[in-house]
Amino acid sequence: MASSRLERIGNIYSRVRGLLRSGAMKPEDKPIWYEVYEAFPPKVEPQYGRKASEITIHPIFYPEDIVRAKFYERFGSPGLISLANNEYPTPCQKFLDRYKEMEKDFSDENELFEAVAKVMEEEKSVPESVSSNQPDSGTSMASMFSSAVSKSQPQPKINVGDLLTEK
Amino acid sequence: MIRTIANRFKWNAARYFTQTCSINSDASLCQNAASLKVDQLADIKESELKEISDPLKFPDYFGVRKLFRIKDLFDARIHYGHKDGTLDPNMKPYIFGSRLGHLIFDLDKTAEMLQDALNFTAHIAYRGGIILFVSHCPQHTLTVENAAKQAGEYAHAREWDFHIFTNSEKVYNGVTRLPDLVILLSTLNPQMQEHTAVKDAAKMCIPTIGIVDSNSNPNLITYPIPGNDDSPAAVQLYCNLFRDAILLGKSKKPMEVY
Repeated sequence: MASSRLERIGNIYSRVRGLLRSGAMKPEDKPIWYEVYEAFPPKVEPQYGRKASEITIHPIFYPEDIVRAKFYERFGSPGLISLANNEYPTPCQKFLDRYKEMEKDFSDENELFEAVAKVMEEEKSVPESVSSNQPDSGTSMASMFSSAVSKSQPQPKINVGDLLTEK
Repeated sequence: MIRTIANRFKWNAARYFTQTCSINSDASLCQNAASLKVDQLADIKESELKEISDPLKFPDYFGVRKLFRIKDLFDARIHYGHKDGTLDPNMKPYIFGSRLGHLIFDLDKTAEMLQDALNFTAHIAYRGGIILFVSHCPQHTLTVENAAKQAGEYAHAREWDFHIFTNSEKVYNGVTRLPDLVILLSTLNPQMQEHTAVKDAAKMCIPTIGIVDSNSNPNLITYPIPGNDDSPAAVQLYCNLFRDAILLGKSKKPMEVY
């Protein structure tokens, strides 16, 4: 039984069709998939050397992204967010919902942002402002270190001599 | 002789008409079926009955469209591609966009191509074809092998020997029947190169269904499915869908005529 192993020429359907037409493959040797392929051909014909289309991939941005950026700049990230858990909205999501509610009362974006931030801070729905707490705001290593040092508890002083004399 | 066969087909035909006419939109055939009375079916010739109930005439004979919804694809994280830099240019038509460098698949296109692939799988299973699940990702070996076991088909989720398809008679020491369909759960091997099965199946005129991620080349695959092939949840969903499609195809196999 003849076969064609030239995977770069045409596709499997065109090669088997050629073999059947020329008589190299007998009709009783027709593969099982041949009729199914004829009835349901793929949407895009498989072809080895098909040139890639000149499509530009567009970046995905939403109008809310501007608000999200401002939020994270002001309040920082809670650190760990579970993407799989849809039950509890994140602080940023709550902020966005409140922003949408209060949108009709304000015309200026900055005013609206400040107003929403004030409301949420009063409700304690958002973490404290990153910029209002520390004198040097930002997420640099130096500022994080200095804030960690100031927050940490004083370590109990251990006298090694006392430990040894206890015996 | 014809009467006894027709009686057997009478029962089968009634089953086909009730099952299939509710699913597909082939109105003319349904009308014909509805207008016939059950006693008249016995007088119809065997060949005509075969034509009415030929699965290839219906757009979705096995009902694979009902196996999943786009929300299931979203929950299994099938829309996540890799990053911009690793994009294969041939995958551009299937990408919805790039979210801060991360590529997102267009699930509408994925769903359509997945339906085509599942329909093809079901038809091959219906015709008694051998189906081979192939994957080289060690993380998903168990998932793939279990799915193949449950479907009653075959799996090769280990390191691929180069001559399995192209020189099978030497490797297995005898005449071998190659699979009639190869389902690739990932078209890349752990070395991030195209899996040998893609090229070899194309060489041996075996149709392939493959999950192509954003860094894979879909050109040689007969029915590519653009989507995430790395998350365990995604691979589990694909395995379940293909297993269900195969079992649907096998369940509707016509009764043997003695």
